[in-house]
Amino acid sequence: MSSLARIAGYLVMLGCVPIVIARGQDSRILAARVQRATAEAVRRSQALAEFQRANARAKLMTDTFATANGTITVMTDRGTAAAARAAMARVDSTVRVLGPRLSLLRGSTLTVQFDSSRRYNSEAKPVAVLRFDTPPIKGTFFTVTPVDADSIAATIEDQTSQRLLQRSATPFASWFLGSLPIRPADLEQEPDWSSVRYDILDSRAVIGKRCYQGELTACSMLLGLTVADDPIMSWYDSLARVDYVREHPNDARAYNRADTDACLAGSDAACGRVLSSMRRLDTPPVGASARSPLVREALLMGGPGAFDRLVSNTASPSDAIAAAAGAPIDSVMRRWQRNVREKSIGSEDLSVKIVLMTLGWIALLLVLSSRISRWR
Amino acid sequence: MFNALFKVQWKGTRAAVLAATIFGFAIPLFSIRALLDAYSDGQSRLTAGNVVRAMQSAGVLYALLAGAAGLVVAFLAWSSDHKGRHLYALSLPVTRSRYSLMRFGAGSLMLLLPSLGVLLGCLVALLIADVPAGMHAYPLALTMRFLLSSFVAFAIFFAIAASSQKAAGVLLSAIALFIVGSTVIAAMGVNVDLISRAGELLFNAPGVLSVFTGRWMLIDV
Repeated sequence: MSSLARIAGYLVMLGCVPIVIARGQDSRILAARVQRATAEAVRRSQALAEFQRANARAKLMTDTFATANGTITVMTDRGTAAAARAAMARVDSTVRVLGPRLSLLRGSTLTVQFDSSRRYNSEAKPVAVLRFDTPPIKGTFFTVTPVDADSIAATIEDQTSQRLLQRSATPFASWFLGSLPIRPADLEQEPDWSSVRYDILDSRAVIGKRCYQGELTACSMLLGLTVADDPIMSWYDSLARVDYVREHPNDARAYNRADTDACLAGSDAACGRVLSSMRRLDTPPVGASARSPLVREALLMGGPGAFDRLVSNTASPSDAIAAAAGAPIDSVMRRWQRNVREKSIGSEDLSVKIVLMTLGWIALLLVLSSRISRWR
Repeated sequence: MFNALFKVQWKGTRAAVLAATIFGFAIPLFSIRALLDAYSDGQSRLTAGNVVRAMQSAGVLYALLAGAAGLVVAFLAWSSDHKGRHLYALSLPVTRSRYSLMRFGAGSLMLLLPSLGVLLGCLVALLIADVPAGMHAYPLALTMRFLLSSFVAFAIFFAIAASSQKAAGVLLSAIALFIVGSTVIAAMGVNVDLISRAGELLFNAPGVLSVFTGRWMLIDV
């Protein structure tokens, strides 16, 4: 090939480079456009489906009214309207204890729909599906409940207090793990103190026993009201630490082999390091079972306005509880601790009911034995 | 007449009653001893959960012993009459119901001994072991439950033993028929568990055997 032809060939190839580059850019742009279009199509399709669902539900709803001081809009269908309306009268009076903070729930919607496809437990009661939306909290709460005013009211009351705690986002709300006893009957209901006692005494933490013996600082740590710098070392003793590692040696080795072996060989400091890397034994050893009774004590001590003071207090959980009780936190804890020690003591081996029932059966069998006329 | 009946019944049942008394005395001691041995090496801590679980495990033994004591005493109460074909009893100038009551009374007194054994065992066990802080001992409640359970077992088997062989046969046949019927129904794929239902009726309150179920705790929170 002549050099002229070779040069011409190079020039042609050189001329093609921009075309190839341009084409490459075109295909990337095209791919991005296709991706955007696909995403848009999915979004539109989802929006359409959501609209159709919402519209269909809205069409089914035959009754709409407000509850909880006008903050929650309730929509019901024909199957649940009567029960839901009856429930709202109770809900209105119950949630009033939560005070002005209820306004945080403004914009919430609750739909109560009859579900003919299922029955409630073995009682075969008709079922309502409740959907609770509380913007800006993400996610819809779903639950099923029997179609009767009491059950619907109880569900709405519990949800209202829980959502209010979520919306208020106070330190107390993060600390509290149970349901607020907003119904008068909840406050009157004595907690299962023997179960609280069991949880405290069954804990590996030394603060459990110290709290039981009356040390309020230990109780405060046990309840998660006082934060410890190094909970593993201050709440637990060396025996509890090595016990835990001994019970979970494989887990511990997966986190820290050298320290696990040193711990099992008797080094308490190594046990602390292992547990720390495992992030075990670093949360308060007793949870909702102990906290709920403490809050109940505060509410009982505080009287009117206690709930409002509790949920509106933005300081620490201790401060919120003290504010609710209208008394120092130590007074509330002392009362709680006394109840833990002194209440619900008694054997479950025997009760008057068991005795009477058994004596009844014995008497019946005795009569039966004496009436059997074998001699005839 | 009651004294004579009691003496005869005592001769027939004393070996079984004494064995039940020894077992009754041993169960609480065994449960406490096992618990102490498991945690005496200082390697692990004795928590409320450990105590409760150990006591619950021993609970089965109390229930079994109460049932066995009631059964043995009830059948032995009528054994002499069965052997003599009830001739001695028929020759006595008392009604059948009065005679049954005396037999029942004598048997009931026999059952006091195993319960006494349980009570003494509980008290001794509590003497040798310290109840962990926050936990409480219930020797009297446990003994009362044992006594009531043994009485219920005694009353049931006393009624069965008091009946004729024909009646006992009918009862056993009815139970067998029920079990076979339930099995056949289950095999046919019908979703009805008759045996479980019958168990619930017997063992859940207010069923006749409900005193056997539940907690038998010498030490509890």
